[in-house]
Amino acid sequence: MAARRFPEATPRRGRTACIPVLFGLLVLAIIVSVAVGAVVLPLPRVLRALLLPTAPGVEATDATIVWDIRFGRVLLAALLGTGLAVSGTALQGLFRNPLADPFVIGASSGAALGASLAIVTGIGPVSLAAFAGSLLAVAAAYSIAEIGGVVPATALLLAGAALNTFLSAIVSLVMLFNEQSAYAVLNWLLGGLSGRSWPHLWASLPYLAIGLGLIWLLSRPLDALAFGDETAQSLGLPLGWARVAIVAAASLTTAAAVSAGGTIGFVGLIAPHAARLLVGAEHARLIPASALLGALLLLLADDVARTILAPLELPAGVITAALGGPFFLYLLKTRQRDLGAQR
Amino acid sequence: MNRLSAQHLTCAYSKHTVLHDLSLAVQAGEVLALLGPNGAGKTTLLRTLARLLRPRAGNVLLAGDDIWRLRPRTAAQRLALAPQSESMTTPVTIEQAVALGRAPHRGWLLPYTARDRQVIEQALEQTGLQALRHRFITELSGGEQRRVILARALAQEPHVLLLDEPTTHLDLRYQAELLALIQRLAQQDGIAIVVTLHDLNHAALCATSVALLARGTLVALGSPADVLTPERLSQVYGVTVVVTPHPVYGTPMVAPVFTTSRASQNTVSQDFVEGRE
Amino acid sequence: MLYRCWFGILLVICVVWPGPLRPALASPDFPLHLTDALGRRVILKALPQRIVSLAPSNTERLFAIGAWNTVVGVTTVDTYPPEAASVRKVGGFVPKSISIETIVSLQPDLVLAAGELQRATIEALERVGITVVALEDPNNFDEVYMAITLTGQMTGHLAEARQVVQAMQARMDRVLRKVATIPPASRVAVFYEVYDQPLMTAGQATIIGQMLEMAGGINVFADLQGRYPQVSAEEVVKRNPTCILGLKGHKTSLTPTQIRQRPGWDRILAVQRNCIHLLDDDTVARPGPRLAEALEAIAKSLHPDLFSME
Repeated sequence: MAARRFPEATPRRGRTACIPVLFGLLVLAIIVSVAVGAVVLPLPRVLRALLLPTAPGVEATDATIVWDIRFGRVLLAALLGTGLAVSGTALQGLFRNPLADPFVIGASSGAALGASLAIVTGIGPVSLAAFAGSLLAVAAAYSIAEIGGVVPATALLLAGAALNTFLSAIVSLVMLFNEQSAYAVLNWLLGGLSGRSWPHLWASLPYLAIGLGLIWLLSRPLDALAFGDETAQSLGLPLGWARVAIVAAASLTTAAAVSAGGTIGFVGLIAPHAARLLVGAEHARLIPASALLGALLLLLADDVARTILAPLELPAGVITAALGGPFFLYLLKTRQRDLGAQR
Repeated sequence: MNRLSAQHLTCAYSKHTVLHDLSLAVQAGEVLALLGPNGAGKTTLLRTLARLLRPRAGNVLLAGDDIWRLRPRTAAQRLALAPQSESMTTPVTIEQAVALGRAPHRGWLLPYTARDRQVIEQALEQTGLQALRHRFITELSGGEQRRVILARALAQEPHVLLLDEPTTHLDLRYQAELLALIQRLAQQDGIAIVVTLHDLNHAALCATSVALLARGTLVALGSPADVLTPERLSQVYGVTVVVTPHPVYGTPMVAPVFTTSRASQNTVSQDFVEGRE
Repeated sequence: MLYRCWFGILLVICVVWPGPLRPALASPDFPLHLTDALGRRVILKALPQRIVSLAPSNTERLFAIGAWNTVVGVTTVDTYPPEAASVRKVGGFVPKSISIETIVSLQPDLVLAAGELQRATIEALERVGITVVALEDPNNFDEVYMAITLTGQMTGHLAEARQVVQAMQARMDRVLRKVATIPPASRVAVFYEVYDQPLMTAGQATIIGQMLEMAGGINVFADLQGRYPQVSAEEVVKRNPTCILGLKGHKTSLTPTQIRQRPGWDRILAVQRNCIHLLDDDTVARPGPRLAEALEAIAKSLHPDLFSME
């Protein structure tokens, strides 16, 4: 009998209620996130600055901190979390692999190379270079994996892995031969939302919105693909087009996320899993749930990152990585149960 | 007019040719059983008919259209395949899995209509899965999973239904129900059915015609009574058989006999085998 | 004598050459227009009362010229002067660790940043309307003096800044005069180790590389390009320096014993003559007012007999 790879979900009635509840939690989390930070501001002052920034009783620095710095950053964190989570969901569905994350097909190393080249040569805005690099790397992986007009999923995974290794090596070389800018490159590679706010939000928003919308429209094809390529084919899914669409949408989303926040790991891996536990594997519901959970995850991670060692800010990726360890242990435990049952 | 026909099919995996110049056809309301020993090419033939394998030579016609000229979606609206097994690792409910069968008609974007829901309901009913509709497919037994696959194929409202070993691993009761279902689908709904089977007797019970394959070639094609003869079966399967009429239905019933050169209690005389006793 | 004219030459250079720092000398009062190290045109409207420093070199300069009372924020790596310990911290050395909102809450009217490395931080600060001036790491003594002078101008301590520069130059003069008496043959071949893994040394494009020459030494790797080129141990052995200099402290846990134990290094003159000296990190590695101290320390290591009276 086939092994159970994904743990079970909650009972049916609970599943429908999950998404509005998650949304409510997100709104709450946004308010809380705006209220916390390296500078300790009491809640009433935060709320006043948030709702009536131009009122006479509100201090200018409060308004600046809450509106110009925190609010934009908090919304960006939520948006990036959404993007990473949905992209991860799409790729996990495409590859039928619970270990797939948004970066498996080369998106992160491509962005790193683009950013490092931009930093070292001083040509062009770094975010744009990262965005372009990310897309180009995925396109490269796709064309490497193509065999006679068909791109098998395993080939794409392998090509992505190869590209990730190769491009990372080049980034190291770039740092080695440009010691002047090596620290600046290292700084970018750390990732995180430090200093990010409204401009980055507006820049990423269109691409993230398009990518997220596309992936949600691909819900049913992803459902079909879960049963295997042949099943999807015999249900009439044009396999080649579906794959291109999924990869393109996921890559657009990931590129936008990585160019704004660098490589932040584990959000794209953990959020889909947790969402599956809550609402089941049907993508029409899985994708929104995953989006909301991803937003919550990155939001809270960034909150911790900028308060735990205040005034020092940690990269949000460090916090998400700290969550990754226990998560994998949990996966191991549930699989051990399955593997044990099979014996 | 043939619902589905294969004309001079030759199929191969790289250098190894699996099917040689094979032709057959099936009409509305007919049940064609593909029989033959392992490695005869039954599954390959079925998958070629299902538009999953591209033949080296020859073509497959679906209601007169070359199946490879049709868009995958159009083909899926007319033809459904229920494979022997599938990757059932994602925790969706039976209802959600069966609902996917409506995709060829409804498309990949639009939500399902009331009619879609009706068809899904009927498919669940026909396969006896109504009570289990909210169970996750990952929790089901092998036989239950087979029924889900079949239900999904039925939800496609196909004109042609291809079934790969549908009775294998099923309890006797479900085997009987399935064979009855196959007959009903053909006779009442007019679906053309092609089914690969291991069990010759199952074929005899539900099929209107039988194709006997051996090593990639079509050895015999005709009604069960015509094809399932002791000579032919012993030639193809390499075992001696006795064919008697089914006590209730009169269809051929095949029973193997073990003949050895040693005299033993289990030996049967040649006379009995040849029907002289 | 040549060095006494330096300041005059400096003024001329600042007026004529569009270098990285160009203060408007026409009006030393405020508002002050200047172009910083990143080419940004900045206007200081009034004398700054609250300054945040985002680099140790900036902090040291502010302290040296007497502007310490205006400093309200520093980073965690600003270890000198000791008074910095009690000043509010706004982040670490890595630009991503700097908290913009902490800086905002200090309400500074000037932030001194570190140059290209902190570009993203500078942009974030500009967005919330904070005045930032970026000072790049100096690569030679001219730039060191210019940075000190500019800092003095920005903080209204120009006179003190010039005094600091003059004091530095006087100290360095004394060393240079003594060094001038050393015949070329007696100049000491020296290997300066920046880091051990990988093995890195300093080139002539760095201040430390220049100080080796100024202190009467010959950098055995003076021919290499780049600021901090990586070298192989074999090459060091081959070039056989008479003295080895390095930094002590947490960053490079080098000890003379460790250096001596490296395979093949026992053949080097420096090891045999026990001329292995470790200098204080902060004095040498930070391009600020304490460089004169550093030069003296280097000179003492290379020519102990000549400088023992200091």
